[in-house]
Amino acid sequence: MTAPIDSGTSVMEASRSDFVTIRVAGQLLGLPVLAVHDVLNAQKITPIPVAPSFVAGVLNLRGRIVTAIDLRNRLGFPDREEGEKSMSVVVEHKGEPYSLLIDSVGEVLSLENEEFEKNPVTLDPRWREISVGIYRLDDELLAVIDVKRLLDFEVAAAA
Amino acid sequence: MDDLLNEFLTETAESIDVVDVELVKLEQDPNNKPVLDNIFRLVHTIKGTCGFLGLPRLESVAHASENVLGKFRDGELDVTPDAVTVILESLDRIKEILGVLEATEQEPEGDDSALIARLDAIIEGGGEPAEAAEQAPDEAPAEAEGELKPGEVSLDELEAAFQAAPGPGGGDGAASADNDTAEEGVDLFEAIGGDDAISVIGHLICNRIAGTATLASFFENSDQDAHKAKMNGLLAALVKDQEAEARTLAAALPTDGGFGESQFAEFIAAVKSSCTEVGLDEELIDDVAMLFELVRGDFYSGSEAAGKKKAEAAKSADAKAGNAAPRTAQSIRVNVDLLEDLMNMVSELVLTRNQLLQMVRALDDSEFAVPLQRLSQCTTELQEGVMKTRMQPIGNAWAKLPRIVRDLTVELDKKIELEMKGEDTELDRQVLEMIKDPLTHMVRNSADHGIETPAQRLAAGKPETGTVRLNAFHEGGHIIIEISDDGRGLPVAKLKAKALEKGLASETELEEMTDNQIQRLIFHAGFSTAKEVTSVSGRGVGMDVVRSNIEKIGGAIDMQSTEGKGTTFRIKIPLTLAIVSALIVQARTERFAIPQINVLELVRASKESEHKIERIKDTPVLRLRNRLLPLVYLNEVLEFERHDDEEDRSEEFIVVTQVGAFIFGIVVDQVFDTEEIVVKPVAPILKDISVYSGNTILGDGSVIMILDPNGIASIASSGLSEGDEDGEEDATATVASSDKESLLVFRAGSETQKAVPLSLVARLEEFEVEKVESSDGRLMVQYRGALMPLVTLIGQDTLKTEGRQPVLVFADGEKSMGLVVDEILDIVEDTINIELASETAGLVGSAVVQGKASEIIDVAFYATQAFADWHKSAAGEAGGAGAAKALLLVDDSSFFRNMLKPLLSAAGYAVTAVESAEKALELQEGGQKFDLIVTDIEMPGMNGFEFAEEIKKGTSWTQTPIVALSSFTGSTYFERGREIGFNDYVAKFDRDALLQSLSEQLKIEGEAA
Repeated sequence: MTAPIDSGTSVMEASRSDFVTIRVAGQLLGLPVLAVHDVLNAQKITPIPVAPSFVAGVLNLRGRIVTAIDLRNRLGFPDREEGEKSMSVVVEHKGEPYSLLIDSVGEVLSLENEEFEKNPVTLDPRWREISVGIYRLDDELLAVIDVKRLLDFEVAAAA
Repeated sequence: MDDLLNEFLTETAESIDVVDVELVKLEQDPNNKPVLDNIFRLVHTIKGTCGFLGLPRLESVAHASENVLGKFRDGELDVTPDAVTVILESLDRIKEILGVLEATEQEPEGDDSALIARLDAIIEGGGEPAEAAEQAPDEAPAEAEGELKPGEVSLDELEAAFQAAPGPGGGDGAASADNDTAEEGVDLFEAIGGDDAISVIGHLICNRIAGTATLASFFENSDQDAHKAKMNGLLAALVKDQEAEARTLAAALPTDGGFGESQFAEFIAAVKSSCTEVGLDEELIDDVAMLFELVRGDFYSGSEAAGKKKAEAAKSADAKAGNAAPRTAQSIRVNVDLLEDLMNMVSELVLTRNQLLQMVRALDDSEFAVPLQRLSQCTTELQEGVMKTRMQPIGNAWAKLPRIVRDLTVELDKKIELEMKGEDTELDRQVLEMIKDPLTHMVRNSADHGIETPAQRLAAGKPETGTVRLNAFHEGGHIIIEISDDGRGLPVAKLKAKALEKGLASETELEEMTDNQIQRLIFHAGFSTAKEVTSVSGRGVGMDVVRSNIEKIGGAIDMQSTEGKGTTFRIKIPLTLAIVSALIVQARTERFAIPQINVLELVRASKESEHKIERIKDTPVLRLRNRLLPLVYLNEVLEFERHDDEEDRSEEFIVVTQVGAFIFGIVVDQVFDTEEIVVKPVAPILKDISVYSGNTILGDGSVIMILDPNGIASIASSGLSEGDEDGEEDATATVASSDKESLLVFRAGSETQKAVPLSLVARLEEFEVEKVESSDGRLMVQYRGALMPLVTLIGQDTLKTEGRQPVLVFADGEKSMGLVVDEILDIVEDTINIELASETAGLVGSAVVQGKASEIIDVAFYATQAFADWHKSAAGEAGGAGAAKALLLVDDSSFFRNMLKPLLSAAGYAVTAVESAEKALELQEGGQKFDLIVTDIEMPGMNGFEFAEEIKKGTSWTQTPIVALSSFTGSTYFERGREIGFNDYVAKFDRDALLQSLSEQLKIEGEAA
């Protein structure tokens, strides 16, 4: 499966692209820097019973109600252990704010497009769905997350 | 003033101002189409409204202008300055008429034919606008006369007066005669020239006065006519020597204080010059002037009195000035978006206020308390104020109804009168928008179905004309709208027949229902009472849609109908949607909000008090004032894990909730206070969860979910899994069709009525208790030369000690088994509609049979108890029910297992559910066989694809059809699934597709075998 790159919103067009790096269950991920609205420390999250399991709950971000998505669950990682620290990055999708629950936020990286590669065909389908492609960093790999597809639950109308 | 007229004046004044400006623009840029369109539209609107309000003058002027503008628009006429001038003139005319209209509420008399003729001339003389231009200046003065300001005497009239007055020649003769009889007033009257002459002189005097600055201020009079009449009267009285009358009139003339000698002298001068002008000779003039001397004193005193009066009037005028401000200042138009924004901001403010209040409440004696109190007060007022801006009279939603009813009377040949009361009851425009259509629909219904034809009405002893009444009023924070008609009412018998036909209720159920309950069936989906679908109503949208629309905005609808007398619908809706008060409750550790509008009361139930929760089997109910209240545990609705301490909790809080006519109790762990909350919609991904209607931020800053009583009610009434996942056996359903079936109703073990499909029962037998033997730990009886095992129901452990024991015999091929029961009650025809699916072994679920909750017995389960191999030997042959196909359900989510298991069981599968692929493989290794496997794709550990691959590798299950269930239904998934060996791929929520697919797989399998 190829990863189509949206011409309008993609950050891939210039020769370099900027990413906020985040870590979820040890995996390094990148979010286009312009997609990230906020980075939050652990927040008080109201759980929503009956909601899909990847919805961690809702939180109050300066008077706005933000839906929190547990990225570990969404990406098929095991649940965070009790007491383990978490952070959030706030992104927006179709005018709705979402807070992505992650383990930690790293630095902002400016990466050469030459380092970019499409998803390997063997990638887990759950991942292929939401990853635009992979950057080969010196010491590890960084998967670029497509916020739009990550949060497009109409296609993935799970529960 | 009439509100409608008021609004019209404001609106038209605005429109005209716009047109003024736009016309000038158009003149400079004749080809500017948008401007022209805009002008045309505005003038058109004015014309339309005038016609509607019955203002013929305005309408005709506007119409003529519109015609010209129409020609401009169609390109048939060029926009010339002259034409524009005429149109502007007609606008001015409209403004004048509007001015009078505003002051008197009456359209002034007058003739606009000349103006209209000129407008028409422009149209006809399309090619030669120059001609129109020539005409214009000529006619303009004449026009000025046409527009008669009240009290002004037109030139024509004046002319006539002159004609009537004796010419100078005739005057001479008369004058000489007068000389002789000058002493006598009557003669003087004659000498001057009679009434006609006097009125001319009076007119002239008035004009002179008005023209003399020093005098004018003393004879200011808004009503020129009255002024002149007084002047004429005074003149006449003087010359006729009627002194008393003259004195009163003279005293009434001056309108301001300070009228002294010098003013009187000037006045006399004015009189004299007026007389000269009409051609009286000097002697006569002197006589007249002398006569005025008689009333000089009265002038002075009159002036003095008037001065005082004026001073007072000025005061009150000052006071009035505020009210009499220009009309346009009274209302302005504001973009609705702006109001919405304002409302949102106020909502936020309210939230913040609540937050602050909560914080300060925690501090004793805070210095913030007082200013916060003020802030709170202001916020409340601001909120009310902003809410008011969104309020609109409900009459706006009714505006179209008279027309609709009128059309209906014509179409249906009925006589219907529409009465509307409380049109000015205000409610939020958002709410208004949402009830507009339901209301229209209901009025239409009343007129179409409710009201009879005139002949029918007369025959029924009713007045020929039927009445549809609309009434709106406030009641305790809600708006009540009543729609009633005096028509035929809802025919109970017909409704019954219909309900039976549509399978909404069984005959026995209907028997037990009150008339009112039956009539309420019209709110059920798929119910339309009109036998024939008329063009008017009955287009498939029924009262169920009306009800759901009203419930969507948190309202409720109720109905009372008496056959032959009429029907009354009562709609209760909240004033506004944006801010609602809600009850905060707690389930487990989480708080939730329940909209107050749905809450009837709170009940605290404890084991000791008079209110306690009782159970029918596992279904909890509460006895509340002589009725049973069904209960729903919020913890279960929200699928919280069951806690052990729950069973013996000493007290419970029950929120008695009403949704439509359905009243039920929500059992919660804790009840807090009520709070004003601002409803915010949930994120799109949570939209499909029916138990939530929104979320909100509470005073303490935390976000909580707002429960939707509608959603909870539908869960409550559609079957609630009890959540005991570890039931030792899986429920196996033998029956689940909703068609009519004969049911055997019996009692066994508990008091609860039990039922089993009669088709499964081979015979009903009674055995002597002594004949029941025990062998190998099982009960059995000799029956038809063989041993037949007897099975007792779970919960029923002993046989009767003496007498005869009733037994239901189930037979399958060679095998028979007996089910021991306590008492056989009845055989009834009913639909089995399993309302509460059960996970308890041996039960399919609960259903209403004969109006009573009954447990439907799972025969297959007891059959396997009697014969472990019952199914194997009898596959597919079991009497009528069909042996259940064994189905393995693999899904990691307990929610889905709980949801699908009853569904599949009800569809006739023997379901085994496991929570992971690994567990399923363990079963495979254990040698279990299944006819079908349904598996989820996204699972932790081994996912569905891997699981399928594993199976297809060559195990005992290789041939078993596998159906994949997934929320991801992209075509790539399908392909991958097929490659691996899935027989089908079904979306997780498509129940029907799943069932369809399963039966297809079995068919294929059957054919292959």
